[in-house]
Amino acid sequence: MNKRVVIFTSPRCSWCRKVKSYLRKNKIRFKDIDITKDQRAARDIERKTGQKGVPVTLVNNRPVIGFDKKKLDRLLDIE
Amino acid sequence: MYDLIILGGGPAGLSAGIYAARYKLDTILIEKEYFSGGQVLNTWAVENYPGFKEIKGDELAKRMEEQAEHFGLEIKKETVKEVELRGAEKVFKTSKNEYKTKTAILATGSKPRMLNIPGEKEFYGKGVSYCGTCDAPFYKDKVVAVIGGGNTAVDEALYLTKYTKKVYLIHRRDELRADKILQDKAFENPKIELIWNSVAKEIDLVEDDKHVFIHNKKTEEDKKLAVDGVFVFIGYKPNNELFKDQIELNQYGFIRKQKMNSLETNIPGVFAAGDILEKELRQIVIAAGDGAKAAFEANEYIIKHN
Repeated sequence: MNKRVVIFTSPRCSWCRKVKSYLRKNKIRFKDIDITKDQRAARDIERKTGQKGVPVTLVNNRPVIGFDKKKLDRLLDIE
Repeated sequence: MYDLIILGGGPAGLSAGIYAARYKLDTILIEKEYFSGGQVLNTWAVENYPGFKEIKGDELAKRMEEQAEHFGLEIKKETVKEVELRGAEKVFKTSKNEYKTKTAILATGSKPRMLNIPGEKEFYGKGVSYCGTCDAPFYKDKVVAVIGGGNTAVDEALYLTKYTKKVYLIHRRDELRADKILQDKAFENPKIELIWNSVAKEIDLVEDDKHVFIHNKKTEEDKKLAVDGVFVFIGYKPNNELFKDQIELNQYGFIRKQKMNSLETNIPGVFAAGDILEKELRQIVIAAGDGAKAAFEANEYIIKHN
């Protein structure tokens, strides 16, 4: 079953682009939410994770902070 | 045994790789990150690299890597744990392998400097940030402090004013180092308050509100400012940990140039390129130039010693 992957990003954030290109390389589909366009998303992510920073990736609602390759690999079963 | 090992996959290392591959040197480049490019990856848009009016940092890095691989450079994504550079046979130990080489190019670059004050680590991602242009939307109508006085600090302070109510720009000197054009913008911006001659000492909560504690070096006065976020841009630190006991460094930890017209370090057959080298100006185009020169010198060294 496909896991639901949502990533909160901002356009100028280099780590966000790294996470996205890593997911694309591994053929994982994700929803990209740009917090500069969606102010509420920024508040939501802060409430949910305590983070005031992007990227935050939610894998079936479990947060991954930054480009944490090990955690992404584990949650997404990337070999 | 390899002809050449390049340590670091930023513009200096990749440019060295392009030249070495074209010289047909038996070469590998070792990069510890999943993506090559180094600091370029942290740059939103590059506007001063010849050939591109504007290119995204990660796009430029990707093109450099593709070009190097096109000419046959092999890139290993491994972390080097130990190096032995003295002697004719130089050894690079990674977590997985051990590589031997006749020559080496050190292109490990630099990384953003941290404040190293109490509270900085604890509040990282929760009020401390090293990228204003990434995290600004979290600070809508809030008050933030920017630490630093160079181009990056002033540029980021200006960007933050788009979201925040107020930006304190805290600088340790009585004038900014940033380019005049940026300084003027900062002075004209009503949301920016400059705090001169001051250094950040601590970040902590005071009755549930985040504060940055600052010390004025001129008046010896201590002050605390209520802020929601602290953004740090205080320059770069050389990545010299692997070889600092073997390679001669200057007082700031950058690799010392031994001769005007050479990139060879104090150890024969070991060259340095890019931001790790002592120099006046750290730019992508200069790093790429260093890479080419270092590969050329490595090739000459191999011809001479064969």
